[in-house]
Amino acid sequence: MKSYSKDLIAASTIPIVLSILEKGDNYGYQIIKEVQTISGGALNWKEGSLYPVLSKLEQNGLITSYKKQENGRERKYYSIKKNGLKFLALAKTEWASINQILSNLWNPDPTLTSN
Amino acid sequence: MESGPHFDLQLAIELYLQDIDQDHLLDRDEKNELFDHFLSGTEELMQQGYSEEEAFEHCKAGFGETDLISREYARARPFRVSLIAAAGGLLLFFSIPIINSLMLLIAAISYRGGQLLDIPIRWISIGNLALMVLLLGGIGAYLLDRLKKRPYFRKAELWAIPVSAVLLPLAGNVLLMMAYNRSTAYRYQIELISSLFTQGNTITQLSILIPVITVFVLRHRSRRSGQPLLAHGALSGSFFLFFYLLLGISSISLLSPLSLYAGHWLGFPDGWIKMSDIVLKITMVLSLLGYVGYRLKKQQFFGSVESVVLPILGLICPWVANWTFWFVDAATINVRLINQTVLNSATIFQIALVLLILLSYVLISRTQKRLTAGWR
Repeated sequence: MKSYSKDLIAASTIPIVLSILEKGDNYGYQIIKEVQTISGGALNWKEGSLYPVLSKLEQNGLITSYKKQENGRERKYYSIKKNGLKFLALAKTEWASINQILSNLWNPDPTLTSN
Repeated sequence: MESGPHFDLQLAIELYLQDIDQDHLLDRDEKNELFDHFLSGTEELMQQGYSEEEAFEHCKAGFGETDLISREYARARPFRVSLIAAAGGLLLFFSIPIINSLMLLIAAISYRGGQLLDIPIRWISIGNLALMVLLLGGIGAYLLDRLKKRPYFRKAELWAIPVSAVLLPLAGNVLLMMAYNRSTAYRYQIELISSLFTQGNTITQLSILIPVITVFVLRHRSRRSGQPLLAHGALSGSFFLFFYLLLGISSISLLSPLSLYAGHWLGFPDGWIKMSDIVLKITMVLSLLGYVGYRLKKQQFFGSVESVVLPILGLICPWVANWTFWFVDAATINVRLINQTVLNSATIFQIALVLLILLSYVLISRTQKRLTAGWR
C-alpha cells in the first residue's frame, strides 16, 4: 500500500480537515474514517493526532464546534467558519501552485524550452 | 472472540485518557470527545468479531503514543502549560508559610502539653523535634506521591493552599497566644518556647531540601533516559519559579544590611538610607522579574547550569537571609532604621509577588497570541 512521508502528512492535515468540513459538519471519528476512505488507506494518520489539530483550528477561529445527541451519546461536531473557508481557498491556490511547479519541473513542456 | 472476564472497557479508556492528559491540559468536553472516539472505534471492531479487549487494544494502537499526543496538545495549548507551571511554582512557594505555621502549631502544642503533663524540658524538646520531623517526612512523602501521579496537583489544592497560607499563620499565632503568655512566663518557659520555635524555623528551612532533592533526582532520571532536563515543561517551570521566588525573598532581606552599612559608611542621613534601601530592593526585584520573564519565554525553563545552581542557591540563600541581622550591630545602627528596612523588605516582596503574578499572566497571554495570531 502507498504511504506518504511524515512531513507531507503534517503539511496536508489542515487543508484535508478543512476540505472535509467544507462538505458538511462532522465529528472526529468520522473525519478520520473519511480520510481513510478517500485516500484508500494511504493516508494513515495516527488518530490521536487529529484532536490537537481540531483544537488548534478552533482556537484560531477557523472552525467552530457544537454538541449533538446521537444514539444516546453526545458528540462534538465541527463546522467550518468564514475564516476557515478563506484559509482553505488560499491553501487550495498554494497547493495547486506547488503542484504546477513540480509538474513543470518533472514533465517540462518542450514548446516552452528554447533551443 | 470472548473478552477476558475482568476487562472493563470504560475503565481501560479512562486510564488511557489519563495518560494522555498528563499535564491536565484537556477540558471535560475534549475528554468526552476522545472517549466517544474510543467507544465508536471499539463498537465498530466488535461488530467485525473482535472481543472488547482486542477491539480496545486495536484502537489504542491506531490512536498513537500517549506521550506524543500529550505533547501535541501541549503545543496547541502553550497558555495552559505555562499557567500550570506558574500555578505550580506559586503553590510550592505558598507551602512554605503553611509548613512554618504547622511548625508553630506543633511548638505551641508541645509547650502546652508538656506543661500540663509536667514533662521534663529535655523530653518536651525531643518530642517537639520528633513531631516536626515526622510532619516534614509526611509532607515530603506526599509531594513525591503527587509527582508520581498526574496531574501533579489537584484542583482543590489550587485554592486550598493559598487560603491555608493566609489562614494558618493567623491560627498559629492565636493558638500560641492561648498557650503562652510572655508577661507571666518564667525565664525557663521563655527559653523553652524560644528553643521550640528555633527548631520549627530550622525544620521549615530544611523543608526546602525536599524540592531541591526532587529536582536533582528528576535531573538524574532525565539524563539517564536521554530526555531533555526535566522534560515536562509544566513541572520544570514550577520548580524554576519556586526557586526564583525563594531567591527573590532572600535577596531582598540580604540587601538590608548592605544598605544600612553602606549608608552609614557614606555618612547618609537616616532618610537617605531608607530611600536608598527601597531603591536598591526595587532594582533587585525588577532585575529578577525581568530575568524570570526572559526565561519563561523559553520552552525548556531550566538551562543545564541553572538546573544545578538554582536549587542550591534556593537552599542556601534563605538560610543566609535568616541570619543576616545577627551581623547587624545595633550599637552602630539605629534600631528603628533596622526595623524600617525589614518593613521595606516585607512590603516590596508583597508588591513583587503581585507583579510576578501579573507578569506571568501577561507573558503567557503574549505567547498565546504570538503562537495563534500569526498562525494560518
